[in-house]
Amino acid sequence: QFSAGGIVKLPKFEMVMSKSEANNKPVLAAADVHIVTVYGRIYCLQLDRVGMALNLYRFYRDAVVQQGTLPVYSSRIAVSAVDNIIMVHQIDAKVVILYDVFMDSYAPISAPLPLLVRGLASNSKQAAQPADQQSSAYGGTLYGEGWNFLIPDLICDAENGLLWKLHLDLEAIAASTSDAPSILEFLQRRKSDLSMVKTLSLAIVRTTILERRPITLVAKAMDIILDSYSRSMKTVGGAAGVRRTSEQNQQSSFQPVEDSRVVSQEPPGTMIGPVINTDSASGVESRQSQSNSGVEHGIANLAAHVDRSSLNTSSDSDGITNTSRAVSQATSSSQISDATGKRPQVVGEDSQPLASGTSMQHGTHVASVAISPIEMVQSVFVLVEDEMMGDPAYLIAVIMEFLRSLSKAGLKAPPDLYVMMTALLACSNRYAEIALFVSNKILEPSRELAMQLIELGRQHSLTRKLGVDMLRERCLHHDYVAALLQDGYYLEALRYARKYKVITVQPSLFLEEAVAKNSTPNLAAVLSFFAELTPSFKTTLDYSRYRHILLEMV
Amino acid sequence: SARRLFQSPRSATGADCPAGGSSVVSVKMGLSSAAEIDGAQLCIFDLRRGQQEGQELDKILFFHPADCPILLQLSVIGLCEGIITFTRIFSPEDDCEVIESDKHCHVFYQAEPDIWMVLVVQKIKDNESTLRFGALQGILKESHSLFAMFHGPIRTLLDRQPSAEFARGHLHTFVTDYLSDFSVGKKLQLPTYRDSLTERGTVQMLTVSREVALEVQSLTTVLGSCLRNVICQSIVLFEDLLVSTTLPLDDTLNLYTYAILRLTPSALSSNGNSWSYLRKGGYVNADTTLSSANGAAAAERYNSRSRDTSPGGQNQMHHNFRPLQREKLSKGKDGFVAADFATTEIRGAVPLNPILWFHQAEERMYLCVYQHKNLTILLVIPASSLINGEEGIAHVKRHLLENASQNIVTVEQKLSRGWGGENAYHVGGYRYILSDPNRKVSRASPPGKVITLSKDSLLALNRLRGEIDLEKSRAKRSDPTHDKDYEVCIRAKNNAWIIAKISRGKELYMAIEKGGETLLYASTAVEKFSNRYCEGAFSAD
Repeated sequence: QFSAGGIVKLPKFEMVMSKSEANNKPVLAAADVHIVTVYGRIYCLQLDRVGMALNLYRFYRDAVVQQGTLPVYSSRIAVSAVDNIIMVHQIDAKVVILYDVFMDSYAPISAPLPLLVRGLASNSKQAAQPADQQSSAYGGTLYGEGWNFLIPDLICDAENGLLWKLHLDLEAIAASTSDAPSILEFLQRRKSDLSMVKTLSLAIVRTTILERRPITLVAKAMDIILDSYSRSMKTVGGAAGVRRTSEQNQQSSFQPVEDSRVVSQEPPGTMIGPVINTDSASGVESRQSQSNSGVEHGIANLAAHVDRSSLNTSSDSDGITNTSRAVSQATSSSQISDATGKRPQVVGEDSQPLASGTSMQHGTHVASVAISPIEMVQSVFVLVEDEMMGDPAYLIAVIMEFLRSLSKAGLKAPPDLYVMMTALLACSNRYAEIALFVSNKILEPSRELAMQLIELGRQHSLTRKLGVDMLRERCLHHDYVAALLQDGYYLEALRYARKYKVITVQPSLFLEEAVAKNSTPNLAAVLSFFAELTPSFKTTLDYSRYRHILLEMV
Repeated sequence: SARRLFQSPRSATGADCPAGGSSVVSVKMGLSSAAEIDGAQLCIFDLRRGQQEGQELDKILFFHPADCPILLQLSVIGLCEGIITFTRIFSPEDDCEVIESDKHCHVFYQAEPDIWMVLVVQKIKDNESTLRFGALQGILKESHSLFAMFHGPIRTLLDRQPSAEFARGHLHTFVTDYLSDFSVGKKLQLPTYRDSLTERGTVQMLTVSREVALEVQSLTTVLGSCLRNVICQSIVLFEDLLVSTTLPLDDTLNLYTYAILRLTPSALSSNGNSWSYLRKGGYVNADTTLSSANGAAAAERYNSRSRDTSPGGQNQMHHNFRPLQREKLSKGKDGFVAADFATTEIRGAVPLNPILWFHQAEERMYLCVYQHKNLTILLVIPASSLINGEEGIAHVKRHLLENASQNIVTVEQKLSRGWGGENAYHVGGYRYILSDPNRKVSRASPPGKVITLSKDSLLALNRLRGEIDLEKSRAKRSDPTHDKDYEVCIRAKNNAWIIAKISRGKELYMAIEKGGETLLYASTAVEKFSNRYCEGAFSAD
């Protein structure tokens, strides 16, 4: 009785929905209602045919709240969920619009709609061709009549006897939008294809810098990356491991997404079995060719035989339990309803609105997606540095924003970055700013930085002083004494060495300085100082040598 | 040493003075007549001009007070010239810095080659010396570098227009405006021993946490991008303290000094006060008549001759461009500090935003000042990058308001939150000044705390600083590359400890009044201070 409830009837509709939680059979029966699980939350999408809109409800434990409305451009739609992304298939238009509802934003992730439509046109060709060539069994068209969309991410092509699995082609999605911050945000939340996410994210940051996009934009991008890193650092720490395993068992019973990720990561041969080997390989290939051509709009279809029995047997024989469970669950529609039927129960166990599962997933997997500051320095700044030498000011500003993001996230920058920054400042003759940044600790003191400052001091003596002072403040006694000696302050160095018991600096260095200054009393003083400090000094070659020099000077 | 040769009037009038005959005469005149003048005199003259007898007047570029008789002006300058020539015999490398006579003190500063500034100060009858020539010379240096920032080097002005009317006109308005800060009634109140815990020619920094510093830097980046193709430089101040700068040392110092004098919120509010004061006192009116008439004519002439110079020349074309004139500066409704220079200009279109000359960058820049609460932002825009002057500036201002407002508000909030008030840098028990002459940075006890020191302490401190100045310049002459360390502790008459310590180029002067009896107490006090506030820079080795 609540099917096709118009916009007007929404409040009433809401109540009906909450009731349906206990008894959701009618939900599944209605073709216009789809249930997806993303980020461990359960959403109900209800198509409003009259208003051409998809209403999004979120199931809480004791309430159903409407979250937003997604536009619909087709009379027939289907909904899938891959890697916590809601896919709305606009069947008539043969497009998919992707939504990432993590931050309650209901804007499509990738390109605006026209671009998507263009992507589909090529997609239908591209995706179909390799499949045709390889298996030569599949003659159907994409979004054909025989397509049944199975929750969460499978498509059953009844006409051709094929089962399709939906994947996200992150590279293509990333290439389809130029909004670097939002795409980074999207990437950082993905849990499939971790290494791809990482390389993509780094590449995106690199290109934004190389393209000299506005600093604010770059800053936002880096904020996102470091944010996700610091979050992952927080969740990884602690006894998450123990809880993780138990939770995962629990989750795998109702969340095929979790397991299907495992499937996608493993080599197709071992995963699904010899029978479907060719098909799945072709799927991978088609995916590659699509991303190479660069027009694919982001969904790769991995083909798999829908032959249920062969699938079950092959996976059983392989003994990969996770896979078999995932596939078998997904392949039979009855099992799907089982799975969905289980969800409310699990929800009931959690006192929170289904958030705990999400955080666990983050904890276990984001660690590898997240990019550490060191990785940022190594695979962004170091790589970019040479190309940016023509415009160091921009890179300096970028690094400054990076440092700000770091401090906001409570992270430390590697000393190399400070060294690089000082070099950049020095080569644009901004010595005054080096001094300012050292004094207000934007450039955090370290031995590396101090040495760099001393090195730069060849051109600018005040900068050298900064470096020497930094050595003293860092209590790097040996280096400090050595630096003082280099500047010819041998008496000061000697006094300092006495106070802090620095015995690692060669006495001959002090003596040499005293000789160079041609000061007889000082040389005598230095000599006797060392003779007293280290009794064995009198037996050394240095002693006799400088004693000889001293006698000659007198 | 040649520098302090003249300790008494007798030796100053010595017959063996090698300068020309007229100079000897003027020496006598100078000393006798200077004594008649109340208060201080400041003159600027060019030794390359008026070298023929009868044309001595041509040397004078500026004389304060302006109503001083010409003859007297000539005699003062003649004396100075004589002394300069004389001392060069003994010390060709280094300039004469000061002569002290019985009643006067002549402080010299060679601002540009052969262009000298001399300040003649009357000594107050007191057993103790109350003046420190280093502090007085600081005034000369400061006024010159500010002048050069707005008008370019004096020599350049003179070369462009050999009749020098133009340079005189500018010097007259500018230095007079500058000196108005020191004037009490008709007299100049110059720094005395009471100012021994201040250091002219240094920048006072605000200490901020790293997080805030990064926030400020991010603001600087936004400010820098106000022009699409060129990076704008900027200086950010909070209250009267420097927060950040992208300019080199010297330019930072000049702009900072200017900001402190005229642009910061406190300076702007006192602008109003002094305006009313000046109107009542009628101080400036008296001497603007004669030479400004000349100046106007000269400016007019100059204007027509050099129409085709670069836009940066605009300051020079308008004699009534007076960046130091308090009453013309005010904060507009849009948050920008504007100067109303254009009032009486015949040709109109005087730049609302002054153009600056930076000697390190060697480029002319527009100055644009924005203020939000206690935050003052000085944006410096390369003149070459703005083709259509004022219009371009309006564009930059718009850009600043659109893009930087949010950052400005955030930064201001964060700085205000962390700001400890005017006594933020007070250290209980100590009255100190900490300075780094190389980096031109200093920090001192707040003035409100310094005045609690007794006269004896201040006099002793002043004296000690004078001695140290002398020692420093001696050491510098013998080995300019080597920093010499000093440490002096004295027990003053009132049992206060007066301490000076120089370590690797950094200087610390302090007075501790309620201290212990022993020298050990004094040295541990310094040690403690050094470790807590100077990162151990003055700790004993």
